[in-house]
Amino acid sequence: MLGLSLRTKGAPAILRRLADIDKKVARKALREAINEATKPILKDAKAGVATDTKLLKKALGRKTKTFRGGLVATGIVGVRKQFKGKKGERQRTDKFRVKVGTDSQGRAVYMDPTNYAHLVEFGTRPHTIGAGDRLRRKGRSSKQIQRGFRHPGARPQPFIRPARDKNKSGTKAIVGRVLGNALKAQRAK
Amino acid sequence: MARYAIDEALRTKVLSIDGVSDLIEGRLYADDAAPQNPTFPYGVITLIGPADRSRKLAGVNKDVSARYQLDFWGLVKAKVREVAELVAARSADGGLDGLQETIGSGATAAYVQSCRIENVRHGSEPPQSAGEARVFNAGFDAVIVFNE
Repeated sequence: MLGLSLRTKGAPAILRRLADIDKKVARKALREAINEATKPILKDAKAGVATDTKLLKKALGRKTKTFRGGLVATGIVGVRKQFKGKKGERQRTDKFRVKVGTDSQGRAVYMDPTNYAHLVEFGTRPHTIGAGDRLRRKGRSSKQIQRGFRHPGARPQPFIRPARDKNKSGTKAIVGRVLGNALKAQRAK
Repeated sequence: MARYAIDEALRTKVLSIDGVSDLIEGRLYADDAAPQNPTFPYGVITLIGPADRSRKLAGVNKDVSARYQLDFWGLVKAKVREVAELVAARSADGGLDGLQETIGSGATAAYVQSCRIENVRHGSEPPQSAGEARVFNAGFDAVIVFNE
């Protein structure tokens, strides 16, 4: 998954004070701070992403992860997948991908941003496409060689990196503000 | 004259790093597409993201911050990694990280105030037809502040 991880760097003094209060409350405050900090990054990533079918833009999302061991929260901005169903029977939904046809064995073929987001972000080198473009794999004839056109490669069209750069200082400020408010509220209790 | 890119100066600097020319033999393409059937190994320098001037209350400075993406491709994993490591090394070791000097020459020369290496990555692509081999990649971003 192409994404961006954020850690609460730059707020060590507040984190130290946060460690003195109830761990559960502190973790909740940290989660809220990281949640707030990823909002402007996602907004800028969506504003800067190259749109062809708008599928990649639609699939961009964010989530926050906290861990029980210590005071660590991670915010992730990247391409989403959606699953539905009971545990063990979860199936991917088509909310963030589009069915474009079927392959020779009748299986669905999807246009899926998780498969190409990194190619948009980092670009591609010149490569083969078209008729006869087959990978040399077990069971396939070694005589299958590429006869079709070549793709000239694609320039990088970054959307995650500029969004992160633009919000570098803002992220620290947001984390500091939200954690500060949480500490004030805790003291007032 | 305003200048927002130093592609040619950066290319000259990268090729002047000890050992780089021996490995890629001048096949470093600056801000243009690599040829259709390239000889490996080769490198590509691409300016990505907006190149911005820094600003103060008094006005606009003459410093421009630009992010360059450097990618190296080759058929031998060790060689590709070696060339990327040579280029991404600390400036004290001859690389770009922490560089602070004039690069390029003549009209393309530019004074680099700082250079930071970020997002180091490496990987490989499977052969795309029976006539091809696996291609290895190593690359990173260089965030460069230079005088325009």
